Amino acid sequence: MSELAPPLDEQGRARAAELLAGLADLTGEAEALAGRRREAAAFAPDAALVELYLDLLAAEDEPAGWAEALEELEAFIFALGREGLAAEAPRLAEGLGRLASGAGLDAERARRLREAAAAVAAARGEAP
Amino acid sequence: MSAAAAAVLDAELVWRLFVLLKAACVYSRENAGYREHAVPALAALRAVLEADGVARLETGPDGLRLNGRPLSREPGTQTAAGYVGAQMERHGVGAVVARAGAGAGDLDALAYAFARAGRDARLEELVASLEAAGARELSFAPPEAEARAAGGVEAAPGAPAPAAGPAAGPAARARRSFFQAVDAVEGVMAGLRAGERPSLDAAERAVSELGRRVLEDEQALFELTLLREFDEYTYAHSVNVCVYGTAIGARLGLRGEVLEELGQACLFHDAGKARLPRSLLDKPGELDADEWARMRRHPSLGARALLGLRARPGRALARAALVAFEHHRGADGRGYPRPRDARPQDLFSRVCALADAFDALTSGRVYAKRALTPHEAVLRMAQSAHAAFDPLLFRVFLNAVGVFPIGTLLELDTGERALVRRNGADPLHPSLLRLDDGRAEELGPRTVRRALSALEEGVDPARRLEEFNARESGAGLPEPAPR
Repeated sequence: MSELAPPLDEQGRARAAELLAGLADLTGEAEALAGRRREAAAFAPDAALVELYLDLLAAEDEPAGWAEALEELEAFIFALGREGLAAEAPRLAEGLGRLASGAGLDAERARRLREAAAAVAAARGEAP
Repeated sequence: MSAAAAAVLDAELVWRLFVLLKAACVYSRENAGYREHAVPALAALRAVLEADGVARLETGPDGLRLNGRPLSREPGTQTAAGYVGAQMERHGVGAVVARAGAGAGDLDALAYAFARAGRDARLEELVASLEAAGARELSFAPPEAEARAAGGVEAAPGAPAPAAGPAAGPAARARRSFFQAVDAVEGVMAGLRAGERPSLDAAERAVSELGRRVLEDEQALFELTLLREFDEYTYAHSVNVCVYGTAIGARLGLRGEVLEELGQACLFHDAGKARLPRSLLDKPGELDADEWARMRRHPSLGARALLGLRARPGRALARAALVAFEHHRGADGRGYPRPRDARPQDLFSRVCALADAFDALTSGRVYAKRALTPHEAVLRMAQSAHAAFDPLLFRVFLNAVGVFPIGTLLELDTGERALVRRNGADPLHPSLLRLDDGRAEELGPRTVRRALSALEEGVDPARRLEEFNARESGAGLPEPAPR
């Protein structure tokens, strides 16, 4: 949309407005809009939360904040219960494993992540 | 007393009550921080009592009325009335009645009855609180409809009969919903700031109501997003983002619980700011690198604060936390916090990012040194639509707000200046108000020459639209309220 660079003259402004008006016209976009509706309906909370807790852990640099974020993730894993954990364990184990092997991670954090991943794997094994 | 003079006294009293209720939430009644507001509040009350013999502040379908008179449409007064009215409605207080002789003790009892009421406290509890505090010349009454159903409640002696206001139209309903939402988000943010686990019940109700209003008349809500005179920017901004996000969702065809979940997620997108110091949030001028680094923690802080509200968050809270975390991430992943992998940004986060950017650009608070005009903002957003935003959602957004969004000041081909009042099917020809003759006047379709900066032209779009609406609804044109 580089043609919509800030218009300097009257003609440019009118052209920009017309381009915007064209963009605002959604005629012919019914299928694309339906795709967004399907996306909205497909939201899976537990899967999204697993990814979010992992993201929050990855986003924390400061040691105390990181430790808290890991505790929050572990509390969530506990709250998932056996059925929830059975469904989300592969995602959790993979995510924790990738974080543990990530560049720039100190030994202590890597150890704690591996422990968490092992706990998830163990719990998964016990799940019905 | 003339109507104009009464309007000035009414506006002053409502403003002083607004400030007093806020102060009572923060300070004890002996604290100077409360007392300094109690004195002018009492003076404002006495001025109305002297003129009318009674002060009956009453909720109604068209907003608050004082002794049957509608309040000034001046934005500051409307902010105050919205807050006071929302407090009354939340607790089922239909009217606050002060009689001649009401004094400082009565006002204190009033302020602390509201300040100390639990979020779900009802009228009976507030009445008990008033009585326990020894209020003699001040009382609460139930809403008129409830009073009628219960066989009638006598009006305070000397109170004028409430004027028959215009039937509650979409604009009045939109206003009430908007201010209820501001109040709800304020409650939640205050709780988070205090390290508590605030209830989301009031916010859920407010979002549900806002969703209905968006489906009824989104343009009436867009107009309210122009109001900028709030004591804390984050609250109004949160509601504005909720309004625009819900409008996008509605145009996508979302309905029911899914639309409400989107509204809630948008309402709490900045929850993390409750965990940042006010000095940082309110800092005038630009942030330095260290301050930006702290500010950029608000998505993580917000997600964690929201997740902390429940041991196992349900669907709505999960979506809200995700949006809080992702709303600055950008559709291309180049925003912040940087994504851990190549997962796409969630749909609701993409919706929220559009609504957030538009309101921030037009407020001039975050991204720009000056507020962009609404038209400049959509142009700027169009330039980065492929990188920062979901291009289809940007088009849906544009379809809702228009090429010249509400509040845009335009110069027409005739040289006249006009304000965009509403947008309809033709995005290049919005409904206009001509401003040049001192009195706003509706115009038919016109050719637009260019968009002007309302700020530079000395035009307050919110006030001009409010004045016009007040005149249209027959409420008259009140004098500006003193501040």
